[in-house]
Amino acid sequence: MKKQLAILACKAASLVGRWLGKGSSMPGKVALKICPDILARLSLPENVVAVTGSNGKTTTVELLVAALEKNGKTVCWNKEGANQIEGVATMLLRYADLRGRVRCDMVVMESDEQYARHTFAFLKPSLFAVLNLYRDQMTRNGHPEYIYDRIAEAISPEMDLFLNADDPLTACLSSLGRNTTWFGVAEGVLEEEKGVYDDGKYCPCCGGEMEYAYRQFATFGNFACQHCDYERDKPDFEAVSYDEESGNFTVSGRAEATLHTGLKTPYSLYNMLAAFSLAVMLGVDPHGAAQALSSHRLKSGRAQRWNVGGKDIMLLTSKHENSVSYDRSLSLAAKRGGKVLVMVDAISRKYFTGETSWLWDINFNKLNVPEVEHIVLAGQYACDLAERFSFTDIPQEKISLMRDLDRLPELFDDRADQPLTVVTCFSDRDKFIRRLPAEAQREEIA
Amino acid sequence: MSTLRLVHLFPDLLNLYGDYANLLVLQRELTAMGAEVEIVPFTGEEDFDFSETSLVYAGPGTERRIGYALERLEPFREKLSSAREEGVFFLFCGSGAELPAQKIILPNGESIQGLGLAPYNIRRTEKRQTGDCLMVSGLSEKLVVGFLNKSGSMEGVPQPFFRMRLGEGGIIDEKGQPTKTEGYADQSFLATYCIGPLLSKNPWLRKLVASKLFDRAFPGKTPLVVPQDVSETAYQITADSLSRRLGT
Ligand SMILES: [Zn+2]
Repeated sequence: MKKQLAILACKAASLVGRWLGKGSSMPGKVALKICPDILARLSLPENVVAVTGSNGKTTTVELLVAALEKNGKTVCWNKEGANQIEGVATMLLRYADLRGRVRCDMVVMESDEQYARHTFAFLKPSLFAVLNLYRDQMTRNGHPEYIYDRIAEAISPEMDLFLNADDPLTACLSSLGRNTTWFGVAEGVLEEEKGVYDDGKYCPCCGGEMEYAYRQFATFGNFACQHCDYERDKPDFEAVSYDEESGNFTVSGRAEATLHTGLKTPYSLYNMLAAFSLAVMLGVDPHGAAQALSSHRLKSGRAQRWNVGGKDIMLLTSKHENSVSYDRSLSLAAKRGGKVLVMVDAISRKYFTGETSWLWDINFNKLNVPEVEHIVLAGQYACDLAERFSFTDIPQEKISLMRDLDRLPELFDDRADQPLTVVTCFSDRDKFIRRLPAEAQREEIA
Repeated sequence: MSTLRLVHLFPDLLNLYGDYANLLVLQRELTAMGAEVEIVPFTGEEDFDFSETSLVYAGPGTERRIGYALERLEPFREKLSSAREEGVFFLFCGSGAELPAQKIILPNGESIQGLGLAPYNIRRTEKRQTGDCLMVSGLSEKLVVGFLNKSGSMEGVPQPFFRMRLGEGGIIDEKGQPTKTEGYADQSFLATYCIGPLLSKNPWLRKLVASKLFDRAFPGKTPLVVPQDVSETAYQITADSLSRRLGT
């Protein structure tokens, strides 16, 4: 009786919430108040998938759900992100009938690395996907080994795992679960990207020296410890070739398919490969999964493009304090050439902050190519950037400072034939966008 | 001594927050002062001689990696102690400051031995502590800007190097409570939990360490005057912004 009441209350609250346009976890909160053990009383579908990792979990979940839904599966998932019990209750009860059956083919949820251990206490996934673990916003998240330990606490021995075979730290989790399905990228598919630091140099299991037969980027590659017997497992789903021109890549192993990715970056490759593999594991036909993924347009574009009187402007949004993503943006900026604007005005919402150490983890030397004619360093931290840039090989006469962002329009008045690439983060990008001239034409990125 | 030798302990193992920059800015400063400077990585070479050295430096690593570094430094305990006695300068940043401790007490109560180059102990916790720092020292009226991101604290520091204006600091008392102090220093030794390129963020501290190294290597010689650079402005902006936060 209590259960029915709770479910009804949750559904009513959802309606009210939608009507008022607020509160994603409020309905669950209401239900939990009426029936505190409501989650234990629900009958769930066989497949409950949780996805986590330093990077790409939102994208991968979005892709996976698209692949599942376009192939006729009904999916209960958390569009708003639900790590707390209230959010999970809201998500599940939306699909529950009055007898407490969650009426969908599967549940897919994005899990925060830190919260997974708490979330899984009330909703244990049957399959737990960990995409990657590397330096990402360490002030907020802690270092990768710290995150590893938090994820390890979330895994129980009866859980099946889906892990990145190329990432030595993530792959270490394998011993904690039941069966592991591996995904990875084969040799030669991606060009190796060298960063400033190398977190792959030592084995995450024993601290011994690690050797790589080849590298993809960051710590990703075919690794083998020289001290213990830890080495890369052969992927069950492997991207075996990647065509830069068309953006097509082929997968082989447990399923064969060709997929297309609009964004030609290692991220999109790994994210799509993960989504594809998971969809196939959840019963979607490989051809159907590949088609759905190839035609899917991601909602959150990292790149935006404008035309201002013939001048080609591209804005690349990277996360601050994430050198791997930043390095990717710099590679693209170097390839485009012309003028590059690097903007660091705010660092994090939580702190003021004086923490600019991550600037030293970024390989700004990537901009040291003849095609890049000029570099403008802008924002409150322009001087910190300038200090960092003074330790690159980039000729100092190519660099200028612009601490006052109101001077940004100067960049639109100069040579129309010179492309401008803006590299900045989520918290600063609107400061650039709102200073674009009114005649700026937004362009689609193929 | 004709060339100043700056030794970097395990640069690939202990490199979590861009701390290698501390050596780069020191090298540049000392070069501008008229010295020849080389940065030498130390990765456990058996015959390594620490006495022919001006500075021994280590940055932060993960908790596991601090453990690996200590294991690998074990055979060099004596050599490091005698270098310390000879007046070689030691600088430890971030969790690198755990290396010279007497011991590191883990959350489960077990403890591991430190290098014993400094009088304090380290107490590790499961919880991480992060935050901006604004500090003063007895050496200058200038403020020190920094950032903490750690899961250990120093205890039993006889004379803390910094007093906090903003932030908790990394030293706790017998009850485990923060003391609003941070870091340990003596004539030729400085250890602080502050992460990142501290000597780039604080040009005056860089100049202080540089002149200590210069004077020891070239007694009686006058260094060249180093012109101001952009790091001075960067420092002022951060120091001013953090100071403004004190008022609110
Ligand atoms: Zn190993």
